[in-house]
Amino acid sequence: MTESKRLAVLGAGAVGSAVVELAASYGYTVTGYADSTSAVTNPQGIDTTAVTAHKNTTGRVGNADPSTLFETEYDVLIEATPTTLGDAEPGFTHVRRALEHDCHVVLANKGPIAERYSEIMTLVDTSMGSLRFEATVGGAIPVMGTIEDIGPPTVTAVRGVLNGTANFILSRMAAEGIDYEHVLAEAQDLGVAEADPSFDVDGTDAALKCVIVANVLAGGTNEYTLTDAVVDGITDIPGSALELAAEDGRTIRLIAEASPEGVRVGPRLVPQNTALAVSGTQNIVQIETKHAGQLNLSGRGAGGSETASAVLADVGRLPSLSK
Amino acid sequence: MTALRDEGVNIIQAGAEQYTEQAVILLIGHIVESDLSDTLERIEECGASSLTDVSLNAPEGNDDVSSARLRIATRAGKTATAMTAVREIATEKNLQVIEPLTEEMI
Repeated sequence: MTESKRLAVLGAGAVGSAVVELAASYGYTVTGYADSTSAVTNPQGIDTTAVTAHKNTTGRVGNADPSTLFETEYDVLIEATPTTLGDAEPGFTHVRRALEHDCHVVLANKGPIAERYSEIMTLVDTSMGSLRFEATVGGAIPVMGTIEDIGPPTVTAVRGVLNGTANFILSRMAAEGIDYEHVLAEAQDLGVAEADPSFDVDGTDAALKCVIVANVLAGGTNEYTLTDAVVDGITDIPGSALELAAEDGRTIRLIAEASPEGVRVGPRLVPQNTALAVSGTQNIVQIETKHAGQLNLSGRGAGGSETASAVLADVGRLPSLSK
Repeated sequence: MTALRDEGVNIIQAGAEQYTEQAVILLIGHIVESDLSDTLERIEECGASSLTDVSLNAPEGNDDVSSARLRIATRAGKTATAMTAVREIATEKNLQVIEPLTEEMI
């Protein structure tokens, strides 16, 4: 049976808004909701339908200052603001504030856990709150939960296709014989690629996900950030390369690899019609284990409701807070 | 061997070379302008490998970006050595290497 938890949701993009819309169906109450310019709070629970309508009309979730989110009563902070690199701000400060108040944190924002892993874990150690971050890797695919269940010390490597935009572009280039620029324009028209797609096509997004996995696998013996990753993107791959690969029964995929020893992201040759050669925006993750062989997990690696489902699954895994 | 010597061939070494692994890689860039023959010779000279197939795809002509597929046979356990050599040559010539995820058994 789901225990009722009070959620404060920070970030009103595709993931944050989906969490707000779906929370009640998981048995949770949203007591605070904030975007970059405004907030709405109610200790008894906000009217999520009315707030969503207000946001759609005005572009703001409420009329209060965003900082009031931390003054409301909540058990779990859902940090779903855009990922930032380097100091990972303001996400890092949001996490710190919640943990210092002995509240739980569930991250959809990759920045704090990828760029400041040890600092975050130190904060967790001194808090009654816990931290979970399933949604930061693989969208709806339960990558972190599976690694946690198997036991990180028994996982030797994790690899896969972890960026749907890059995979869509490579899939279309291979299937239609169209060059990169044309497929990118198509992807942008379809909403699969953002106006500035660099985060996806240069490998940064996949690398951040693998940095998170590598830190978990390393178990504190090594700490990785994005600067430790070897990253190569797909922007320079011509159609002629995909044609040569196809002639030999292969294709090119942007493969991300994480192990306790490091992170590597880059275009790689993989056989067609095998697990790693997923098409379109699909993601796949292969987990290599010492005792259980290879596990393949595939599914939707992005999207509002898909990623929100991972966030809400994390909320369900959190222990009770006894304040 | 006698027949070869009779034809004037100077035999330096004779014996069976066992290649048990192979790797297929792609090179991307100004492959022709950066001297494809030299690239292939140097890959073979690394001592661990033999090129068994080369395909070039240059739809925009030899003076533009093109792609090449190389099938490299290597002795057991030497694929990593061959890949290191390929990477070094590619870096020197500003070519991108698309590597396979794992080597294959022949």
